[in-house]
Amino acid sequence: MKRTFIILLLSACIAQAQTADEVLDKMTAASLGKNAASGLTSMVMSGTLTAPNGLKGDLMAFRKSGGKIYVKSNLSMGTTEIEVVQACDGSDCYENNPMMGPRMLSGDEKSALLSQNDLDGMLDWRQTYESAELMGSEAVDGQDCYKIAVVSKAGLESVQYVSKATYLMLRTDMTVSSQVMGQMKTVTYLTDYQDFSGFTLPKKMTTEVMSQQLITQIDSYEFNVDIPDAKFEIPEHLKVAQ
Amino acid sequence: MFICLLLAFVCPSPIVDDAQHHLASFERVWSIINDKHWDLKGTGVDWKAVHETYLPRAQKAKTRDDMRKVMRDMIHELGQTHFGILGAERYEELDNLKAGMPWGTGDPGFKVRVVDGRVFVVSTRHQSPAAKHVPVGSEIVRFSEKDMREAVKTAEKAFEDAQQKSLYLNLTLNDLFSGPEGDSFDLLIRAPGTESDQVVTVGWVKSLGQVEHLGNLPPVSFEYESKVIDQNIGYVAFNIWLMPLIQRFPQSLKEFGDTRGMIIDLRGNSGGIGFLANSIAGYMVSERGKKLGTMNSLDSQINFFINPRAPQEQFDRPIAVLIDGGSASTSEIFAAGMSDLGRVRLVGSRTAGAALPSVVESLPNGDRFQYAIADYISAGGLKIEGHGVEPDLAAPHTLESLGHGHDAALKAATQWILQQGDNP
Repeated sequence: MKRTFIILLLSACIAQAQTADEVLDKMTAASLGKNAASGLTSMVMSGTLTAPNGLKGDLMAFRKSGGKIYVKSNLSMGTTEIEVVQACDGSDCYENNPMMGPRMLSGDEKSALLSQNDLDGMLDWRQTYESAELMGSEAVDGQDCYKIAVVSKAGLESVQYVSKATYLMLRTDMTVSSQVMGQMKTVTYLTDYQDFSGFTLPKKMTTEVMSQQLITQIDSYEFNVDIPDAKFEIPEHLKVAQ
Repeated sequence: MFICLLLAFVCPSPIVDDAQHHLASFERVWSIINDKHWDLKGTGVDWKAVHETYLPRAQKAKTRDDMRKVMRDMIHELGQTHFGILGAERYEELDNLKAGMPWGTGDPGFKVRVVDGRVFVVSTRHQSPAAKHVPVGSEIVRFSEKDMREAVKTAEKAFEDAQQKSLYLNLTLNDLFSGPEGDSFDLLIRAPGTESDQVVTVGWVKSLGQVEHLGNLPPVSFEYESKVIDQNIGYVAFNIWLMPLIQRFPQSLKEFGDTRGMIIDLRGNSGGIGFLANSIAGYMVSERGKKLGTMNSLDSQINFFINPRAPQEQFDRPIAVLIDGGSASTSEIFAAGMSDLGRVRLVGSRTAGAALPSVVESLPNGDRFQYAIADYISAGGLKIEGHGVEPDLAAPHTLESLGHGHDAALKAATQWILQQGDNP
């Protein structure tokens, strides 16, 4: 009994002794599975989106190495259907939303889009984050997690909760500040992890913002799909408008 | 995307008149403020100490009235206007008001407003039976055996503690006249300029609106009207801020291509999707970096920023916005912000002062507690909640204007646009 207690205590100390870097390295390894990081150049994700107030629709996200992102949502609310596009060409990002009109993204808004869709960061967190600090432990849905504060190279701060049992990320908290939008705190839960061609990825992401929930349900992930760079280009009229 | 639609007085709970339930109500009110206030620290009030101060009084309170006084005094410590206790028994009287009246989704073909304790028709629907038999400015004296002046008194009493009394009053009274589509009904009216009452028979017609769904709420009818009125002025009116606006409004602007100005009629528009206010503003504000205002909640601060549309999509002529006590939430966010930016002239009467989701929760003893979960400040620093937006040009419905069958605000707005000339 005494021996078991000492082993448990020792295990706990070992767990505590891990650094944030080690935890994030293990998190990357847990997501990649047997796949080699260098072998992944693009990813296409498709699913559905359910937002507050009956807003729902389909979602397609294209990610390519070099910070190229194209996320298209076809949404409907009542009798109205809209197409919302958010994209980055590796340098600049924009949004084309019929509600607000087309516009370039900057500051935290741009950083948040990049960090949530960054393929390079998924393969090697050091490409995305400037620093990582282990804050302690906290349970997420009953699972003990490492709580890690990270700062992206663009200066966006977030807190990630990584399961001690599986090393998968279960939750991420972020406060996005923008001169345009203001300051918004989001909490995202990542659940229903499954195997997709050897990668372990979440099927469901639930984001809470101002007491409202946004649910993304992923139907499929495809890897190394040929995506022409033209897909990520900034529309000419937006370049002119800026 | 924030819903700023006013959803009040739902899910009634039974009236319970015992000390245990009254005390539970006291605790509930204290907890709601403690947990949900967006900036309790900023009030400078030690809320925990307030609890300790008022608890002995609450424990001694024997009657509903005693407890209401304790709760109201406690809330008063906050020094903020948009928190209130609403008495339960008065809602029973409101329920009785509708008892025995016809039920249905049919449109009576007219809208009413309360002026000096009386119910007046302020608009009629084109080509409806009401348009033929009930002139604008008519007082509705009796409907379904109910004296309308008494009905107003009952409703006014029920809402006397509510911050947005005028809004609730007009919503309640308009709701009284809906009924089964296709059926006919009698009204005792006094037409404008006459001294005697007369009975007219009109019929409920199919609602003109487009049925829309907003989350889990019951279907709502989106009514949108767009036309060029006398003096070559564009006129647009809609009853709720819903998604079809993002297609309908730009279409209206195209039709207003060579008009002298535009009137946006938000009277009776009680809200909808908050971000549609800044979406629509983008067609009327061409300068970058502007916003309508800011909403502050417990952990977020959201700017209602304006993204100017392309120059060819902009409406650059004078704009008057009509407002009244029925204009609430998103309508107020739009009106206040656009006025602060100097882009519109507000005409009519003070708005409801309900810029936020005005949450009304039933308490254990059956009373209601009305509270806001965030604060909204317009671009010019105006706190709308509990105060409302004042018009630049006061033009309320009056007995005199209604007596002539005139729409005072529409007339004033038209004159103002004409004064601006073609190149303001």
